[in-house]
Amino acid sequence: MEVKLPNVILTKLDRLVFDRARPYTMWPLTFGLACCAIEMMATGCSRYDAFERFGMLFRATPRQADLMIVAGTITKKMAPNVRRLYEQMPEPKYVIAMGECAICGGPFYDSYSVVNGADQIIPVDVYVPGCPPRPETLIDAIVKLQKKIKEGKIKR
Amino acid sequence: MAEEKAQEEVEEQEEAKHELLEELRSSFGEKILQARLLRPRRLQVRIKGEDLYPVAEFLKGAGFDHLSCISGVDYQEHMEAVYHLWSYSRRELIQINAELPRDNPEIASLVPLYRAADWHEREAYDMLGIVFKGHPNLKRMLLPETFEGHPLRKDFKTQPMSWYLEGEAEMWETPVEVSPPEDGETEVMVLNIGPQHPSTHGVARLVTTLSGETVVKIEPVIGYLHRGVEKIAEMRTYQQFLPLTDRTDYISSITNNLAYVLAVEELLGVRVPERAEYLRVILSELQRIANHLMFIAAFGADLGAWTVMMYGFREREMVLDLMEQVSGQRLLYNFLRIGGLKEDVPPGWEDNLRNFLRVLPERLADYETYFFNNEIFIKRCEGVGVLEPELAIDLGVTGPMLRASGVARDVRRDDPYSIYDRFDFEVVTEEAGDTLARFKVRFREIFESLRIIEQALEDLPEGEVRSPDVPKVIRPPRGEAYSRIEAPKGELAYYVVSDGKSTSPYRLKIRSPAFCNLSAFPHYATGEIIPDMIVNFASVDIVMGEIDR
Amino acid sequence: MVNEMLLQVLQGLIAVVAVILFLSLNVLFLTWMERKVIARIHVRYGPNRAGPYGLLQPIADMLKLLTKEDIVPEKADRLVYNLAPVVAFLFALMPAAAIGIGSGLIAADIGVGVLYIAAVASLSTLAVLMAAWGSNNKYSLLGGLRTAAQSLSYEIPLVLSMIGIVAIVGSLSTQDIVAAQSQAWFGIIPKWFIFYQPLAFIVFFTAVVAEMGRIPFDLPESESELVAGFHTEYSGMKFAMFMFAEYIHFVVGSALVVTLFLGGWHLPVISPLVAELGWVKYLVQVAIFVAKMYLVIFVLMWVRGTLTRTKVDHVLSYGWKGLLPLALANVVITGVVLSI
Repeated sequence: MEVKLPNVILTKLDRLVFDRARPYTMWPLTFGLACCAIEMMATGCSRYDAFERFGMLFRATPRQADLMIVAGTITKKMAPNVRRLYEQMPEPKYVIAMGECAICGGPFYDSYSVVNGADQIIPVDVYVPGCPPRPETLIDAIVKLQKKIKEGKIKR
Repeated sequence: MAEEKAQEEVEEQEEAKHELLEELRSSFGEKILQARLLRPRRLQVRIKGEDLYPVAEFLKGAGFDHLSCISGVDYQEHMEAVYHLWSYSRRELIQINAELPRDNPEIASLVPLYRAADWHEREAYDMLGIVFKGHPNLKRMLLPETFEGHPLRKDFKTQPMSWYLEGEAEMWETPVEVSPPEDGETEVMVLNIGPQHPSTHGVARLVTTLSGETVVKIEPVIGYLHRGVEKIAEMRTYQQFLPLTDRTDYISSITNNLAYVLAVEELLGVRVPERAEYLRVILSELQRIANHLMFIAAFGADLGAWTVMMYGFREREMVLDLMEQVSGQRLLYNFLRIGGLKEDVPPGWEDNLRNFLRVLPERLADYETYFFNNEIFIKRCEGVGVLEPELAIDLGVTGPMLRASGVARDVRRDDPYSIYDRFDFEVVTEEAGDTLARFKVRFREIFESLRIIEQALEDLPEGEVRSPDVPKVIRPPRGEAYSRIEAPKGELAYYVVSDGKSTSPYRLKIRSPAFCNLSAFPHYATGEIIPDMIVNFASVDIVMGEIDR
Repeated sequence: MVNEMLLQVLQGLIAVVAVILFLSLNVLFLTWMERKVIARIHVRYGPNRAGPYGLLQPIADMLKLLTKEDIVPEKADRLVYNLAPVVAFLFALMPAAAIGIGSGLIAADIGVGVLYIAAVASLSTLAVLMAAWGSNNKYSLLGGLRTAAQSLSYEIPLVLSMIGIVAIVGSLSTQDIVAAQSQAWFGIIPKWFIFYQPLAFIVFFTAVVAEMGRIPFDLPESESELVAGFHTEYSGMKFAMFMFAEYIHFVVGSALVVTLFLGGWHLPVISPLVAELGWVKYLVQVAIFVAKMYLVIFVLMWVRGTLTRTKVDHVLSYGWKGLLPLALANVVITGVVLSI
């Protein structure tokens, strides 16, 4: 067993310090696909304020975003763009698949132009069921993702 | 009383019909295969494909100035291109069924007559493979050029589950076509706005050619949310399709429900109980308020005024609460049923609604201060993106956008559906035709909707909310129905064809208001600078789910 | 001789560290405060999960940005792209050297203070242009060009609006300018330049907001039009440096408003009371200065929460046709009044 010391230190540091900080500043990408995007916006607005409270700040450019909330149906025409946006985001990055469409295609599962689930093109960390999910459900997903990051369960 | 009135109207229409249909018959003789009156204000003409252009020309001369929709049906033995023309002066809708051979579906393009035909024909070409001869730019619209087959043809096979394959990405990727600058001297820049951009309201994409900050050319590329709803409709029963209507225009789902349900009810010949009719009106108007609040919010966000966005959503939550009490859902209600409503409203809901009617105008007073006393806002919107009324009509623009150009046209008044003829409301218009006017129209319409709700709430009768005549298995007789309603964004119509045998629609076409309104956008937004383009685009009030379907 | 030099160098170093520390602390606090204030205007709570009242939010943000992947676009001009954030950061720091937060509490009391600030502040445009060009992104380029146009047209009224004050004080040093505002009528109404030069204040305030690139003048990075403007392609630490620079501009701009127009660290009644108290005096001065600065900052946030974004052509025409004549008129009026 060969252990590289600096890496151990770095990993420890990463786990102890940065993984504590990251859950509180997951900046999502301003990116809505369909119906769920409206609920996503509602989640961010006055009544729920679930993004800003958790330190999330919508960034319009993928370069500055950490979290992609796939809110809506991914069509085959859009899929390459979703993939590219994901690739443009810097590591570490997280994905929430919001709504049935992003989980499995939802009510459009048998359409000729719908990708059945975001996980076919990008890795997904948290799935949020609902069509569309209520803001409370999305908040739950955010808390789950925070927990996952804190526990170091995000693996790429 | 209402029935008598309808009866009178039928008689009146009978004469009018004779006039127009006789004229058609005398002018075209044998070429008119069939000409009949479907119901008051609905005419139908059946012709051969090659005779379309002269017939359409004749009808345009006869006052049919609004091309509502172009669709097509694949009847397996033959195909039909279906045109819906509305005359604002005669207040009649004529449906032209043009028969085409299936192996070579070619028909003359109507673009020289109606510019609105441009996008409709491209879509019909894309979906059904009908070739429109003389169309200036007959390319696929929703699907990529490399796509094989035409989805709405009956022999197009869909897989039960479509896995996304690696090679498919290349096929579906839509490259930008950069046209070189025309004069060869000025250097232009092609800027791809979207599909992911903060102000494209979803996944619209605008391929913009810029000279400095000035927009020289805009080409909207749509289809990024094309979910094949119209094809899915053919695979679901009539009841099963109802939830999917919610998901087309997801900001105002009740109105989508309503348009679809009206079309199926027309096919079935079902009458809806009074109470259900009133509640439908109330809910639709609530939905209109929610939609316009959302518009205001998004408009604010595009102007950099996030406060307005938050306020708009806060007020919208009040509507959502009311809707949630009724349907248990916040966004997509799926509450209307064929023949009525899912259920009655809960006890006490009417009081909540009254409370809302009292609170909302107080809150809206804030908006008035914010917008109309805000010099920056006024300066940004005034005189920006002027849409001339003639052009608007020619392009098939409807709804608040048309009314902002000073054309007082509203389906609720011109072609009353449900029980809208019983209410007293003003068709809000503004003369300027600019972005500010479009904003003002929507803002003022909120108050009109409140008025309608008040009246409906006052007369709300007791009773059933669901017609007992609707069978468990819905299998409408052979026929076609075209139900137009005034959705918050404009004229929304569902064209439903039943073959009389199946429990699912044979063909379903959604005439989306935002689709036509968006087609007008490049016409009035070119020549202005990027910030103007953003407000112009926001003022269309688009929802991609409805445009791409 | 050598000792003296060493002492000077040491003094300089201490001053530099002090300035950076002061600015950094303020910037960190500001990012939190801005989010909280804007949230309150929006009828929301704002960050409240990271630490008490979300106070650890800026630190979490910093730690995260520190460890983000650093992406350099393939087609970018690497040197310019990498240099731009550093340049932005440095140029943002420079004007702070000539602004004092107490009498004598200044990094470098140079004789041409105000002129130096105006000169250095305009340099940050260079960094923006570098970022815009280096990223090889169309949105960045548009954002950069907007910045250039905007800061060019607001630089002139900004400098002109300061001339009136300079003429009254007869010095360019910020220390002298603050000292000139120490008196008060009847011991209560302060003799600040905002009362002497109201026109200049309006011009200066508007121009400063434009220079900072905040709403209603946030065209260089207007989200709804240009995604993120000149820093569209920047991620991680480089983006953080741009943000840092931006907030330093915010602090410096507000400090400048306080120095020039709001009497710096002077407050009637309180200032004379503590004038003889040794080190307490400095403490009170700093407190007064910072309090005033945050008042200005709050007003700027309030403006952000209330106004919409202007259009690029309006911004330019407003600068040239509105502010410039006003600033010139102010110079003329001041000149006439002073010569009488």
